[in-house]
Amino acid sequence: MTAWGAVAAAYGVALAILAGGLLAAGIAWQRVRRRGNGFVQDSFRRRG
Amino acid sequence: MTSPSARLAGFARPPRLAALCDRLVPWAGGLFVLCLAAALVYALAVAPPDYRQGEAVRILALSLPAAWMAVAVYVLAALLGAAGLTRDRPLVFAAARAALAPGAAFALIAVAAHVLWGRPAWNAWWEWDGRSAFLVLLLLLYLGAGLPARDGDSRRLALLLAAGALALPFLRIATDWWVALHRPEGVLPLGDEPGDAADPLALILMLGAFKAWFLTVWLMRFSAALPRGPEGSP
Amino acid sequence: MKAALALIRRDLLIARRGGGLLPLAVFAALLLVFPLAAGPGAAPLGRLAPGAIWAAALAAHLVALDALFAADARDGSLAAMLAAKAPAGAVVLAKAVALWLAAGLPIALVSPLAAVALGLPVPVLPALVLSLLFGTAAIALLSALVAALALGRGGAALAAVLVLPLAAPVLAFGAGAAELAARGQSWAAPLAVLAALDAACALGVPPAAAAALRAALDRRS
Repeated sequence: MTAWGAVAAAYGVALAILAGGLLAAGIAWQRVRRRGNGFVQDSFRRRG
Repeated sequence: MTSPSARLAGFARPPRLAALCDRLVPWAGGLFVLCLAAALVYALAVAPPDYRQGEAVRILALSLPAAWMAVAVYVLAALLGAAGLTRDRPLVFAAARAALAPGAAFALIAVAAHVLWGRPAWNAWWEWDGRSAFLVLLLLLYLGAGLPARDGDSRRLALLLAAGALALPFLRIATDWWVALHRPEGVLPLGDEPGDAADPLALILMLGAFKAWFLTVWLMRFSAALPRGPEGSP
Repeated sequence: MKAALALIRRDLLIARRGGGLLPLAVFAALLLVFPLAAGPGAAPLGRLAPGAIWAAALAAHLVALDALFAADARDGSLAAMLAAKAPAGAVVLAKAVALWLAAGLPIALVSPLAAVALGLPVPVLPALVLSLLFGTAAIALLSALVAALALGRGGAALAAVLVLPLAAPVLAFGAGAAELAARGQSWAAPLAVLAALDAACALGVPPAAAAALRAALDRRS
């Protein structure tokens, strides 16, 4: 593997993980904002 | 344990907290994009290649900050967990839980970057040096924290995080010592860490980008975990 | 103090009746399999032997992990023990001592046989036995902590994942002591580190594990 090949692969993997994380968190976040997460005060209290 | 009215008083704030987080997210995201652009441009184009490691030194701008973030986030989660244990506030536990997944992502990036950095240098896909061993153990600590995090048992999660965070310095020392014990003579001149060759500005820029990314993702996850009224209204 | 001793005796009796030699058996089995799988040729084996012995010792504790608190939690005796006048940390300490007596101590005493079978030179033996005595004490304490953290459904997977990072320093310095002895160098430093790790675990694990047990039992009720 050439040096530039390794650099490209490393940055590619890192960017993929960063983008993927943003996407996953963002989708879940938007879904909660739109539809609520079904949390009644009670169930959140018991979870702690 | 606490009176119902006291608990309710504590919960009067989450909707406003969620609204605050929601407003901060775009700013954090924008900051991330800016920092990332600067870091990428600098690390890939502007910084000079190392006279010994060649272009591969650019990967260090990924693996070193990612490793630092992975450790820092774990310690942050452990501190939040400890705070949650002493004050018994579910919000603090939620903040700790929200930080774990992005922290694990950093550990993954660090391992992948380290492997790809080592490939040109070692001519092998994996070498158990101090950094690799430490990162694998850190990944296991994140995995271990991820399992009870789903269960919802916050107190034990906090204890687990505390034990892991306290173990981290011992792990670093132990892996370094173990590797030094087995290092054949003359492979590396003493006091010459391969990581020293990384360009400091590249490291700082990438670290800034990582911190902004963490802030964005953490805010989103924390906000999503907060209790809201029906229809997601804060 | 008396209660702690009683708890230790009770655990050992239970262990003897219910297959408490399992850790030792696992240790021996792993170390038998290792040279068989590696094939003939003693030289490379000697290089790997300290690590193999320590890895086998750790793996042997894994099998005992799940049972450490599970049975007592199930039939309610754990809750009774924690509610008693003695500090909850003493319960954890007693469990760890019982585990060490049932697993760590036999492993340390049997290790010379394993060492010779794997081709380690004789000067290594005192280093191996001493480091194992100290190291398995720390591993026993850490096992108690992990068992307390993992108590409950699906806890075995968590326990297996957690033990390695927490016990890695013990493994590194323990195997390192044997390694140094094999090279004829002084192994006092890693041994001292192991003793220090023992002290740190003895101080830190009981309160943390007791808190974890309480949290686990509170959730069940």
